[in-house]
Amino acid sequence: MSRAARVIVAAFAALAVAMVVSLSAQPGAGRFATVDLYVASDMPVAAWQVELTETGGAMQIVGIERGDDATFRDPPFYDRVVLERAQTDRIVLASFSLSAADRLPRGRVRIARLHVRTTGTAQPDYEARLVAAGAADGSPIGARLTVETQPER
Amino acid sequence: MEPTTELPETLPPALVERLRRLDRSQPIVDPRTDRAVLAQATEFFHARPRRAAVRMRWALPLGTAAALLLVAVLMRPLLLDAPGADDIDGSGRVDILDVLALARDRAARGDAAGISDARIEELAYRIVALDSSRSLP
Repeated sequence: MSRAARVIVAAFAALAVAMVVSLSAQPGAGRFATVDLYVASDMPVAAWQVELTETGGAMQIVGIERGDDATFRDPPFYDRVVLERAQTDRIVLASFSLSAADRLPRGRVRIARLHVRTTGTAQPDYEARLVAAGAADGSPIGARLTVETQPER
Repeated sequence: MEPTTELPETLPPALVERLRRLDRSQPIVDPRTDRAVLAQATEFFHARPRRAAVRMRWALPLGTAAALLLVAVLMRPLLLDAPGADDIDGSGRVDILDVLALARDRAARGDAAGISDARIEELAYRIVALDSSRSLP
């Protein structure tokens, strides 16, 4: 390898190291994760409304998908300004289905997936509240809401 | 000592007495003028309550009308956007179950229900709005 080639390789190596160091040192670089919302109910769920709050740090919602059941709209209703904001600590999601009761999900089912980007060093702390859940006839039903997060690859 | 710029320390008593008499306040209004002013003032203030009463006769209805108008303007958002108008299922609060009730009504009765898809979407977006005063898509 000639001397010029060694110099070029060394320069690229130094540049790569500098980039890695720079990216790891940026506090606002952010991490991406998915937040899955699950509802568990013995009765078929025809409508649900959830309020999700992040209290631990800065959260930016970058995407929202419906859950596993295709009878619900994709994505659920949400305030579209939330995605336009750089950061938000709260969002309300809701959806409904007019499908017959025998086609509606029951048991534990994922109702929505959020793709979020978090910044800062603090771990995000999600709090979810089930505002309402209803059966196919429109009557309110009791259900349990759980949140699962996992980092995106 | 210059007599044109300085006074003697003592004056003759007769001069002092005359100066005191001149310094006393003199009446500038004689009793006839005083009576005339009193008569005019009495006449003026006697007529004044009647004019005030005339103004008060209009002031009460006008004030009441203005107060009602103000109340109507202030209450308009509450009356027109009352939660009861969107509380379709009568649960006492507006949530996704009201949207579901609207959608079910429309699905069951069609156009006869008088409910448009836009109305259903508008209510759905309103319940998820973080700022309820903001216009929705």
